[in-house]
Amino acid sequence: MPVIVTLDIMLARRKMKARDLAQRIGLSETQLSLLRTGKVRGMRFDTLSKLCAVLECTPGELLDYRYDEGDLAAVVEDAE
Amino acid sequence: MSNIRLTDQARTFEVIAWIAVVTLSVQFLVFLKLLTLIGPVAEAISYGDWAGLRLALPPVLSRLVDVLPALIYLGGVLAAARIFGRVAKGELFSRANSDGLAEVGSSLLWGAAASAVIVPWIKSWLAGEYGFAGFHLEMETWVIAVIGGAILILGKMMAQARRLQSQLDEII
Repeated sequence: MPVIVTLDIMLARRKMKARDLAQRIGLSETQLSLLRTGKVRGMRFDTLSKLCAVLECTPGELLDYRYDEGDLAAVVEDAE
Repeated sequence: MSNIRLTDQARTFEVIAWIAVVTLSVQFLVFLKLLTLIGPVAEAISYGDWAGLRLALPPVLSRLVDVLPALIYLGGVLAAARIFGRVAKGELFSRANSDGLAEVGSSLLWGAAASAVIVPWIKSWLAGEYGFAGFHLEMETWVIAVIGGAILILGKMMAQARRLQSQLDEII
């Protein structure tokens, strides 16, 4: 189970459009769209900081996670 | 080095590389003199003169074998010219360039192998001496082989770097 990006929820709470958010944090609309749908490999801390600064929230309000045993499988294989 | 300077240099090298390709190609045609050699071969074939063909064929094959290393190097120069052309247009870390570098390295390696082993072996076989003809290694051949290997590895490294860059681009 991957980390879930709950950016849409915060956008709705702040009544902000994705286009405006992208412009304020220096991302393209395409990049922000990929981020919202979780189709990215990762996010840099400075991107996360900018999101938190603009949306006036904490990282925990933008990201969610539900435990899945399969998430540790790759780590165990690497260790072996 | 700024991109503008790099593209200017690449453009210069592209011109030099294409001049080298044309010059080498013309030299091959002049050196081979295939038309004078092929005449007896074609005549022997047309008259069904197999004994004559056995006499006429070795000089043609020998002449072709002589230029084999240079033909292989020519392939490398062509690949380099194409790389310079792409860099001159601003295309740097592309798959085509990494494949092209590997092609340049391979042609240098194979050209050196042809000089050192393949050509001597074929020529001794044409002279009727069967068996391994030994290595004919000059210093230049060693240098070309080592540099070819280095360029081949660099090409593969560039391909790996491109894959890493692609992964990094997926991190927003």
